[in-house]
Amino acid sequence: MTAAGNQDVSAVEGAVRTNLVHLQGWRDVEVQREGFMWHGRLLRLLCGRRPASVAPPEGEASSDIEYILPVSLAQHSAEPVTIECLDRIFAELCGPDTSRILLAIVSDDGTIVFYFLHKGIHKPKKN
Amino acid sequence: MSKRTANALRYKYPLPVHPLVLPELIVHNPISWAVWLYQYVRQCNALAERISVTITPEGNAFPHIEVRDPTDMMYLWDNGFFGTGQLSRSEPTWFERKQLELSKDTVGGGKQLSLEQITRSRRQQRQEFKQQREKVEAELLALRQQGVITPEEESKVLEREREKLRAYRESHSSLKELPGDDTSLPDDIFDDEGNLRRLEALELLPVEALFLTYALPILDISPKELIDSIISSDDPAALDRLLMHYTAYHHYRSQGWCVRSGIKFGCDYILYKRGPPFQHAEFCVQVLDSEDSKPYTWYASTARVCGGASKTLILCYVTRNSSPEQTRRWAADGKLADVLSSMSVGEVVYRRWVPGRNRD
Amino acid sequence: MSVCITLVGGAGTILAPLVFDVEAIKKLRTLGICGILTGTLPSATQQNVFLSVPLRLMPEEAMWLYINGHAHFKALPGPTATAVERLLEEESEEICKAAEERLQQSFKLQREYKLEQHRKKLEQLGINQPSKEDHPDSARQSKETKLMEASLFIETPTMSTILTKINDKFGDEQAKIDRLLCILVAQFSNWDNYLLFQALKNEGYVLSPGARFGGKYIAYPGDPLRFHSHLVIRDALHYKNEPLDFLELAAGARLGTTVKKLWVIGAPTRESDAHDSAKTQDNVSFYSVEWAGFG
Repeated sequence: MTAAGNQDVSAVEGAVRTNLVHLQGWRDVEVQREGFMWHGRLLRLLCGRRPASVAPPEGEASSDIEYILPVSLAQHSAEPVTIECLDRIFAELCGPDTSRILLAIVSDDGTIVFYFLHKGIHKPKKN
Repeated sequence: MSKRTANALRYKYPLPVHPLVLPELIVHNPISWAVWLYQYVRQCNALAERISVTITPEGNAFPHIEVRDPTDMMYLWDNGFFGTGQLSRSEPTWFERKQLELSKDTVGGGKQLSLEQITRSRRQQRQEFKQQREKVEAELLALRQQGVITPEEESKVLEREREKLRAYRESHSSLKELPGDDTSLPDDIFDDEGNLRRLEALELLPVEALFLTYALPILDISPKELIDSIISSDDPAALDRLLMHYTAYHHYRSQGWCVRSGIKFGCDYILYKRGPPFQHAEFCVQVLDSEDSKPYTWYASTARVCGGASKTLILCYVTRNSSPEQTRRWAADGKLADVLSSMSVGEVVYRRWVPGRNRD
Repeated sequence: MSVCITLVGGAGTILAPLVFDVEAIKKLRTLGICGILTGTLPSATQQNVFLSVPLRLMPEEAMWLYINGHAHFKALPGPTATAVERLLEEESEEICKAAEERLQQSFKLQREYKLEQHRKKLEQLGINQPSKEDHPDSARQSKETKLMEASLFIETPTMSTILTKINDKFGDEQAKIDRLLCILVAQFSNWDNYLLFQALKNEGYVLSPGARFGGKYIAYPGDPLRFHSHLVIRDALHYKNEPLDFLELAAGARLGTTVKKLWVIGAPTRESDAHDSAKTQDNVSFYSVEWAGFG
């Protein structure tokens, strides 16, 4: 499954894109062209527009653009995402006002679970 | 037909093994023999063709085992709840849902709500309820800060608002279909002739696939081929891990449990008595090597997550009775029976005990 | 006023920073250090509720207090029980005598107080006080005295007098203290975890042990009696070398959702040596993880 205009979309990136577009109702999800090399692999984010059912970050209801980091559950040695890696992602691959990215974890049975990674210490949601 | 009987009929067989129903055989009556043989031959339950499986990408570190044919997908799901739909919660219903969604715009939509729609509707309602409640609290806080309102008045206002919220919730409690969030559809779901493409495949866990080729002859790939394509040869630890997990999976399947992926609960597998549509799973299984040790905080947090989902945590210890190299060699030769007989499985149930609460 | 933290240590025993003084415990609370009460009576053991002094601190709390000048350490070699036993053997007579004196003094004061109260009450009622030389009432007087004696109570002090004796005896030697501090940090934790603690304290959070929630600390935005905790903080990761374990992250975030807390991961961004960076501000990079609500 290739995103329009992008070559060599990896299996994990493709699976996350398919899931977001066809199951979760996201729009305009594309694999970013820019990334950086991390332990021999090209690390890229996906960028898409969230549907209304997903809560925007507090205080930033203006834009519905969200950055997504696709990873595989069985990573560990192959694609080590460390805190340093996250710092670089926030510094280089997102917009300057980005306070959070969506982490998409692809497990080996095809299910994808999504978590928000906020930069810094965040306040928990009220129940 | 009620949902219960419909489910009981549809999911009649716990595994893709169908016992033959043969008529009574009267030994001295040749006609009876004829009828019996006829039934026997007709009902032979070997699949006409084995189910084909695609492994993408080949030999990669993170391969996905997919079944693409729709009838095969439903066969595997109905006979033991194998696999997960890639674009659904569990049962691969994406195609039917999408069709229903598209046809709603042209014809009056159907009444059947799928699991995904129910969940979405529930979550949306909860969000609306939270927004209403926040509004009320903000108003109350403003009034309190202005010093206009006394504690009695405040509690009266609160009670009134609670009634309103209750009424609001009841009026919305009937599950309603949510309109799609967007009106435009992505282009690549239609093929050249304008028909809806089947984008969803049924994805199998490596242990499920191994079970379906080694224990039961369902898939058209041999166990040895399967192992070679999911484990790359320069990663012996991964092979050990797969064999250990497979031993546990095989153990529970052979006891009659329906075993599915437990990632949503932070553990390896969850056990259902009959299957997902019937009852919620009762147990979470974490497969551990009997020689490994984990820090005690890991046990506490895993047990806490499982307990929070009302499930009991089972620690499944797999002991190896032969050396790892020997098991790897057996697996490389495809001798999985030897691998299985060289492992033993023990279980420990781990439950949180609070001295203050568990006295009763 | 510098709080005295007792470090119980010795060859192979577990170090526990303890605070025995109630006033010191109050002061610590105002500084945002809560600790956990662990004291119980050997003859009436409790569990989880109704515990008393000493207050047990996390190693990070003790370190933070020491580094910021709020506390000093006193070392106790060996577990308190053996020290007390030894002391009791050596000075049993003196301790007994002192206790007896204290008791008699307390009784004397109580008797005086009660007699005074009795006299005042009789005056109020207008009854004449019988004089001491009135013999026919001696039986009644002795009965009254018996009742009064029976009503005297024995007070158990909040602070153990034996323990202060031990403190005085084994004093504080700086080198030993430094060594014990190193063992303390190394045994329970590591320096990175301390940096996480420090960074969160600077943001105004109150931290408690988080093993209940599967993490290293839990953080309250203020006093624990006023707020529910907001965050569960995981052990410090190494900034460069430790990749995130996604299964653990998923489990942690899932636990956080059930108990309405955020799962927080952090790593100090500079490699620091324990002694040099005690006063410098290390930068800690934090990330908060929460379930996205879908998927």
